[in-house]
Amino acid sequence: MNPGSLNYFFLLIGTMVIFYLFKENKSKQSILLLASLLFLSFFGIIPVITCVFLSILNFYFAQQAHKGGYGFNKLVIINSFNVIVLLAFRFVNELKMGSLFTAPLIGEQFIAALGIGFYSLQNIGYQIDVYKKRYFPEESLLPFILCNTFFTRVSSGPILNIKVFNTSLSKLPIRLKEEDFTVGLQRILVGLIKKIVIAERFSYYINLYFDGINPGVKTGYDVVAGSFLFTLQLYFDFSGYMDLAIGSARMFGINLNENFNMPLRSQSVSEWWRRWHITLINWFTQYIYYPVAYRFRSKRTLATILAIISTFGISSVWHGFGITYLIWGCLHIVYLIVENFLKKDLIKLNEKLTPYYYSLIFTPFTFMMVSFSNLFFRSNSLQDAKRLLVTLFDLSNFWPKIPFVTWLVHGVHWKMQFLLSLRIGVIFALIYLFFEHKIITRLNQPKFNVLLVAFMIIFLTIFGVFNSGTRFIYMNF
Amino acid sequence: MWKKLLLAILLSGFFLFFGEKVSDFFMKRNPRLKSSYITEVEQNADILILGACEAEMMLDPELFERKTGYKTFNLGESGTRFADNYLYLYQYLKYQKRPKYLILHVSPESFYNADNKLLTTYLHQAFLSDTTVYNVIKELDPEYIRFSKIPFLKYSYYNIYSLYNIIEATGYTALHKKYPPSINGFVSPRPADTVDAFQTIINKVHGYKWSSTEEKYFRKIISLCMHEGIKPIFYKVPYYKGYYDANLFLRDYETKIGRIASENKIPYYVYDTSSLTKDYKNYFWLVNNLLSMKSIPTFNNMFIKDINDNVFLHDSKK
Repeated sequence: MNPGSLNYFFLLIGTMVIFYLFKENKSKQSILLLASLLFLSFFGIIPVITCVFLSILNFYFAQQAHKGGYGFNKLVIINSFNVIVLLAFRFVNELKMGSLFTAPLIGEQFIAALGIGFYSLQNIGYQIDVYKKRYFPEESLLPFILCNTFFTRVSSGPILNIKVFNTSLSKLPIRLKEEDFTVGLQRILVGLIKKIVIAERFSYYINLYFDGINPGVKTGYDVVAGSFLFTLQLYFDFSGYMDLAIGSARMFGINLNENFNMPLRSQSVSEWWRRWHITLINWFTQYIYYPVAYRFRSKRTLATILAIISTFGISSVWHGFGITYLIWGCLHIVYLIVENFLKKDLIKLNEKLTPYYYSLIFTPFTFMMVSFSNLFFRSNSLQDAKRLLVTLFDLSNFWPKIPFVTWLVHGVHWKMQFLLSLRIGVIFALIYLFFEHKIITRLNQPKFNVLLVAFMIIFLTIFGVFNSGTRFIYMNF
Repeated sequence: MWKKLLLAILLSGFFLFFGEKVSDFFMKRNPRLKSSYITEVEQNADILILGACEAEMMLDPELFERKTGYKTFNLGESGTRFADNYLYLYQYLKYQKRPKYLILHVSPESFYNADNKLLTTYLHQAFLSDTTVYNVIKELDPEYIRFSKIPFLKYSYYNIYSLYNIIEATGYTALHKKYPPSINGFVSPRPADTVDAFQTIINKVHGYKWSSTEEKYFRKIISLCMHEGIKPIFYKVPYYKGYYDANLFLRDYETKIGRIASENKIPYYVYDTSSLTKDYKNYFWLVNNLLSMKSIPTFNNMFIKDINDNVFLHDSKK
């Protein structure tokens, strides 16, 4: 069951109906848990067993360890287990399926433990927090399991703080509020638009650039176009999923954390990481970056560098074992270290140029840097990445050898249908990005607007690419 | 809140329903879609050519007409499968005069489904109201039928193709254009601009499996021809020798096709031993079985001579 599929909405509506029939909080939580287990069971029995088993284990371990004095050794034992299980699934999946991006669709063993990358981090963070006595261990098992399995976000996050999530579970609404319904519905619709109308349109070209036996990459221009399109696809796909997850949770009166804050407007790579996949980066910052920086605090700059290296080193392994992920991580390490050294100069330059002109230069520059790193993130192997780099830097063969007018009318490739589809996607993406702030503000307004909802349904139906059936990209992780 | 939601659904439903009807109108009149073209413009063909790109791009009706005197129409369409060919033939017979001969491209690849695509659904979506078309789509693409019940999703399900077709159809209708650029259905292949890279795809085909569904629709085409009194002729374009030699199992499948043809007393022409196959410049772009503009006339003349001598002359003597 792909989030956003018809079955997903049947599950969502069915769960909502039953959820609001009951008044007791415990019953509501049980219904959400049942729905979540049902959702996971669509991917096979392994995700259900893994998720429930790890939840129970972490729940009881934290309780027992807390009672008997939670020592560092105990923390190492449980978190080593969490990490080993996570890595084992990753390793088996990658061994079986090769590249995560070309792996088959849902139903295959590929997603053997759906969402494990996300709920494992949650559990690891939970154990650390209990060990550090930031809060007491959870007393009730049901909300703990629900936090890990909650069906609207289990497959790709956002990563939750168990304590915060359980606070919202403790006061679930008795009736569906208009505000929750309106905001939830609008977020779901905009999420579907981002995924089905925009991101899916880029798939054909992305696959052509990165996966083809006879790759569509012939010039440096193709490599640049491929990397830019992939960054856009990744953003619209992943943030579309987040809108869907947040909107669906809102239907039950649950507020999930935002995971994006207009990252394509970032003026530096560090700003990018403050706006992109926020809950993951917050997790890494809290549990990796700060402890490392604190441990080496006497070394000043070296502490920052070591913290950056460990954060992105672990982040790249979390994404996958491939050498391409490692290079992707290394590039971000380099970007951030260089930026750290140039921080003062950049502030001066900002003042000299005025913020407007500074953003005109550094927003596209940041996008280019991130897109360049994404060449490695998306490449299926080191050989593929090398091939792309060689083509990119072969300046004698950068522009397509066709007249500009031919390019404008027919594009580089010869299927007009795909060309039109791509250009529609790019136009919609740019329009969205231009008005992103206004759109987000409008979507969070609690008053139901008939015309807006009707417009979104019509727009989605007319321009949606429904047949591709690809899963959300971050379900791979 | 619920009233407002209902109103939004009704409003969008009405708009989409109206949009679907308007698109139906234009799509049925889009001459660029062969399925629409044959319902609108009289063809009077004696020979009908059918198949995938090997038919659409490899057989030139003009050469056929010149050499045989029979009016010929090419109903081949790139990327189609036997089920598509069956529906095209069904539609053709519904709206046009019955042809004397049907020339169908049949190759081992016709029975090999690498991407499990059994039907090019978007080619037939304007004719979903026809029971035969509906039933074939329902059998081979049930997910599409499920979605097509929602207003406009009949078109937007295969959005990448349909949106372009709708825009094109609207343009053609607005400009009162009745004919496509190629009136007889032949689409010439592009010049072989990247022919140097040709050797790179002479690879082995793995996991070849004969598709029983393809065979079913192949046999349905034969039955429809027999029922309508049309004489079928099968052929296979010459494959590039390197590819053919790397995949010797292709010969076994050809024998299987030959067996089905002879069961039904249908001639099957294969040209893999011709001299054409040795020179890669005779092939189009990067494909092993599509001929280039250089070799199409040679192949056509060879094929036309064979069917003229063995089928047409034989029939005329009767």
